[in-house]
Amino acid sequence: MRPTDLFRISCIQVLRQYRKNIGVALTIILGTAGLIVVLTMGRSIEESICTDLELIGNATRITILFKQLPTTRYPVDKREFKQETIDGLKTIPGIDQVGVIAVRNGYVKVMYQNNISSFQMIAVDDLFWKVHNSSAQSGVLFDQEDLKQHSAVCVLGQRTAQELFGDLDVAGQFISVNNSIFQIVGVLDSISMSDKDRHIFLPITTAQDRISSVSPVNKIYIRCHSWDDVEHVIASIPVVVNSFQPNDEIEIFLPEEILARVKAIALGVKIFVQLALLATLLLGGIGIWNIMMMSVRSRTREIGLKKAIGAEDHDIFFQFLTESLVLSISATLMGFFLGWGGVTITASIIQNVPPKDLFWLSVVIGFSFSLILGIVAGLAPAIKASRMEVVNALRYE
Amino acid sequence: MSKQQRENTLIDLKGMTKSYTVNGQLFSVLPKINMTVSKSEMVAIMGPSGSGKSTLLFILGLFLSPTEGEYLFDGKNILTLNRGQQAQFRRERIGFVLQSADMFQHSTVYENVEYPLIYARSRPSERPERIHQVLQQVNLTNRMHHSSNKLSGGEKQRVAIARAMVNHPAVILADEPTGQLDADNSQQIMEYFRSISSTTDTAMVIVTHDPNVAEKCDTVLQICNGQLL
Ligand SMILES: Nc1ncnc2c1ncn2[C@@H]1O[C@H](COP(=O)(O)OP(=O)(O)O)[C@@H](O)[C@H]1O
Ligand SMILES: [Mg+2]
Repeated sequence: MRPTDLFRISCIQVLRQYRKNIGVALTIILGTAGLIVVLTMGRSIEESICTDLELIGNATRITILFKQLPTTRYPVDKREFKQETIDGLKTIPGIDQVGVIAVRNGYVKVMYQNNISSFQMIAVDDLFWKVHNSSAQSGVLFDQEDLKQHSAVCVLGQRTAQELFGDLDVAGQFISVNNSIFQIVGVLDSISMSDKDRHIFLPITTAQDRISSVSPVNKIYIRCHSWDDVEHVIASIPVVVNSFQPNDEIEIFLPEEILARVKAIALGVKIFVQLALLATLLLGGIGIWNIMMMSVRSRTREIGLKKAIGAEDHDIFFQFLTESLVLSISATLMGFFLGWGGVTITASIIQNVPPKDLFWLSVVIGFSFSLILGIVAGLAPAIKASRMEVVNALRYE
Repeated sequence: MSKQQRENTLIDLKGMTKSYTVNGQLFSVLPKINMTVSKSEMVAIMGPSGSGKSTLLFILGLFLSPTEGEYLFDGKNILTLNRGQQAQFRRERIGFVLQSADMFQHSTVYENVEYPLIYARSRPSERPERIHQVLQQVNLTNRMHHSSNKLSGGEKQRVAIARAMVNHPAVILADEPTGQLDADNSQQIMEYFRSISSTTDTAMVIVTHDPNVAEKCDTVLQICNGQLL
């Protein structure tokens, strides 16, 4: 049998018997598409899920502050983290951002036109936003330049803006805070710091100039690069602090439970997806094997007839094997297209560029897999069919 | 046997025996059959059901190996062929027609007739003409691209005949080719056999119950209790 004939006939037969093959084909198409989406976008999805989970739980955010003294009110607590300490912390491997914060006990008086209210104020640096994954609901958040320039700007929490203006779109307006004029640059989103939505945020430099009784930096937030970094960062903190100032008064907070929970969820999702994929591909393989096995039985007379008109054992063998391969490979090709669609959609949902090299890698993996699938599933039936004796096949009803 | 007779002999069976072991008991279906078929001869084999007609035909087509005996085809001993050579022999030397006129599923008339050419590795460019030729001989060129499963019994049998002769065999072996056809269709099929035999010099061995069919052949062999009469 010429290879061209073999290939042509196998394609025609698989196509004409699509009713019989459609179930298996669909399984393989979906399995391949799933494989490609997960292999290509898995890392991005995982990062995206982790970011989302962190946004809610802040699982990799470590807080360092001073232990409470029994007499914090009087006199004012003057303990502070030195700039060297903060710079030292930034050098710990696995740390993304170090944000600082200074607080003022009590409220500030905020006035807009005739509207006067009291709000909690915190003085923060620009990295504070990054540590908390914060973004502006409207306008912008003040930045490094504002800190350097000691700009008279502020950011409002959502409820603060609502109560003063009855509106969230208030960037550009001027308010007075404890009789100093500040310009509003933006309003904070509500997810990242829901406990601080009735606050007013000032640049720490400006606040220390203009607002009385603002403490020095007394709280540090650290954002670790990933969950895996949290443990060794925690271990390093007291050591680093100790080389610049005494560390016996500090306290370190970490949302341990949340971190554990988030890790478990992510692991669960990962395992589930991979098991589902494996099951799908396995089902596809068993499906082909079953179809080919059944067709050896139902095509016994056809095999006998072919041998009677001169087909050799290897003609029958390759016919069955090729049909199995044509089925699995064509389904895999369709799976590639579906998979590419899935990758594009997923990428647009999590706002990411689909990594091309990963896509092609997954195509290669998917293709090898379907080749193996087609051969393994088709081999036993092909051998069985090719060994059949003509008489038995012709006498078979 | 004269020299001319010997040169004209296509099939020569001597002392052909076939026995089966059923439940440990040996029982013979064909005890020591002798039989010759000349080139372009039409031979009918008749006999009651179970008398071993199909068995004999399967042995002739090398589908079944005999327990004992000699089988010369065109003067050559072909019982010593290996599996691959047997397939080649079937491709090149014989055509086979079954009672049920089995068609290949999901295939057209044309594709059915193409299969033997495919297994014979014939050149694709030569196929259409050859297929057209044999279909013309059974008067089916107008159904060439129809699905073979939608044909009537008589038409299917004609396709089977075209398929059997497409590789220019020396002999066509037919196992009750008219067994499932009515009298008119049987008649027609026999006429096709006859015309093919005379135009192409192909020998025919036709197993049948039907005396009307046997009547159309040159030689009628009766098989009874395994004996040829
Ligand atoms: N594989 C086999 N094992 C045992 N007996 C068989 C086998 N094949 C055929 N026979 C027996 O051989 C006899 C002849 O069968 P067959 O050649 O089909 O007869 P016919 O075609 O004349 O009706 C029958 O009795 C049948 O039962
Ligand atoms: Mg029979």
